[in-house]
Amino acid sequence: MTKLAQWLWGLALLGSTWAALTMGPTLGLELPLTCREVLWPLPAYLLVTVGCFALGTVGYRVATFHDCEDAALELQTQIQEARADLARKGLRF
Amino acid sequence: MSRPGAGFLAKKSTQPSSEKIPTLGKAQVEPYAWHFKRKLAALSPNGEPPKKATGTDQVVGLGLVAVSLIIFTYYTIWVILLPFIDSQHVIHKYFLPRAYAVGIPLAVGLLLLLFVGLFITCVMLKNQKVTKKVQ
Repeated sequence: MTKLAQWLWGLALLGSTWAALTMGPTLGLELPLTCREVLWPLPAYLLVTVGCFALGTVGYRVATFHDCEDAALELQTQIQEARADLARKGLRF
Repeated sequence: MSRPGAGFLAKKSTQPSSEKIPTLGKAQVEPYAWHFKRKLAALSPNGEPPKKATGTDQVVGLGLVAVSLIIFTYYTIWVILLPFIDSQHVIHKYFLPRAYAVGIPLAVGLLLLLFVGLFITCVMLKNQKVTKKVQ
């Protein structure tokens, strides 16, 4: 099974569980009020959590990434060379 | 033997401790010299240790981490902890009505999609204009 299929399968399982539990009372299943209060925003909560985790990881990696000044200078000279070369060959920026 | 130099040191440790510590001759060091050269090359070409991230990078990164932590804790308390707290408690004053707990992320998500769509449209229009000029 491909990764996409696995993810979709997991999401479908979680989604159907959530739908069954939130619409349970209309079908006869009784949950305590606090549980239902916590349950119904759960998909939004999971989305926000994943978003926060992604943002935090990106921020942490930006903060701890080592600077390579020599590589940066080398890259800039290469970019200038490439621009000059391409401008000679007729490509306009 | 996880480290390349460990084999060299392991050989030395099998000798009885009554002998004096042998010095390293060139013939013994030479085969392992490339390991040290690789370690030096892993440092910057000047031979200095790799530099830390500087200035604005650290500020931006730590700012992002702080923002994500704040949003995460506020949202967790709002969605998960508040229903279990007595409705007369003073903490409920700091949190919006519960319907916003789904409404605000939904609105923000739709806005994000809007901006992404606008950006893609702008880039595509710019590309079309460039190709029309070239033609």
